Amino acid sequence: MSDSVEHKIVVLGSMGAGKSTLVRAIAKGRVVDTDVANTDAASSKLATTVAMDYADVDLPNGDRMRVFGTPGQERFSFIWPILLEGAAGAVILLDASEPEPAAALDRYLAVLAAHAARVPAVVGLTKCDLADPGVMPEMATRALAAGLPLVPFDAREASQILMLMDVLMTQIEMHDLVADHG
Amino acid sequence: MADASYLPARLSASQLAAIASELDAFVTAIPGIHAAVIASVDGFALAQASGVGNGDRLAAMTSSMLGLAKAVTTELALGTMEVLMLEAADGKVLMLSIPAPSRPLLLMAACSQRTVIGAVLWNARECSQRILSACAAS
Repeated sequence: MSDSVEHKIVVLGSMGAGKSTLVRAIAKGRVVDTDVANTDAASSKLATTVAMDYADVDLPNGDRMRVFGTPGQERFSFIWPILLEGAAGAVILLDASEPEPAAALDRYLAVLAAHAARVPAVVGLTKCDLADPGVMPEMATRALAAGLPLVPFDAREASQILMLMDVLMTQIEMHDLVADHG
Repeated sequence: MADASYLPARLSASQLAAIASELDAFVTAIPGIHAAVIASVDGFALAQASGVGNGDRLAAMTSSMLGLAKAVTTELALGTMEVLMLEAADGKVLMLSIPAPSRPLLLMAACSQRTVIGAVLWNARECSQRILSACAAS
């Protein structure tokens, strides 16, 4: 195929898992953000996303990737289906050290099932170094049961982000192949 | 859910009460206001008046809308974002940022199509000033 393709990628996931960090890293800093001061005493974060992060990047093959980061808090759930509209792929980003990562995974899987049921997706797991060693295998099993690969990674490391996006692009290509050949 | 355990940093009970009473006064002053909310910059409802819509959801939506409006003004290099107005078939919505010194507060007001939006804006700014004074005191 010689025509360049636009891939809309939506990043869902828990507050503080690294969604904004991921979008910024992909765009090398050229992002539209909607960060404001965090006033939630339950989180130590200084800033939080209230609408979306947006970045676009040109891929080496001429395709273009548009990445949309979402706000993680439940009160912003109204914006998730709006941003998922037309998505070619999704990333569920979770913090392995949060109190109940498995429940968080189930919550975002339900969001995908409701609003982007056939959209290829991967699960990214951050902060594994701060988590109980049992968390990663348990999360991987849970993700695989839902048909999604799980990639443990560091949202601050460019090479590890590439690996995550590579897994997602593979998922998208496989999805397209199946769609083409039934 | 983390939202349920929310404790607004730095606002005292008396400040929250003052914000609620200023919002009530604002709604009473203008006929035709259907709903009004004061929210924290990150979308928590601090005070709400009138019955239409869910105040907690409207607070989060106000935060998102003003967050996007701010991104647009930044993209266009238009300086500080102040007011966002929305017009629909059956009503109008005004959203504005209240520039509290450490963390801004947000005000949303929805009114009927027949309400003069200029009057809503003028009163919303007056209400903002009184809320700023209330937050600066005590």
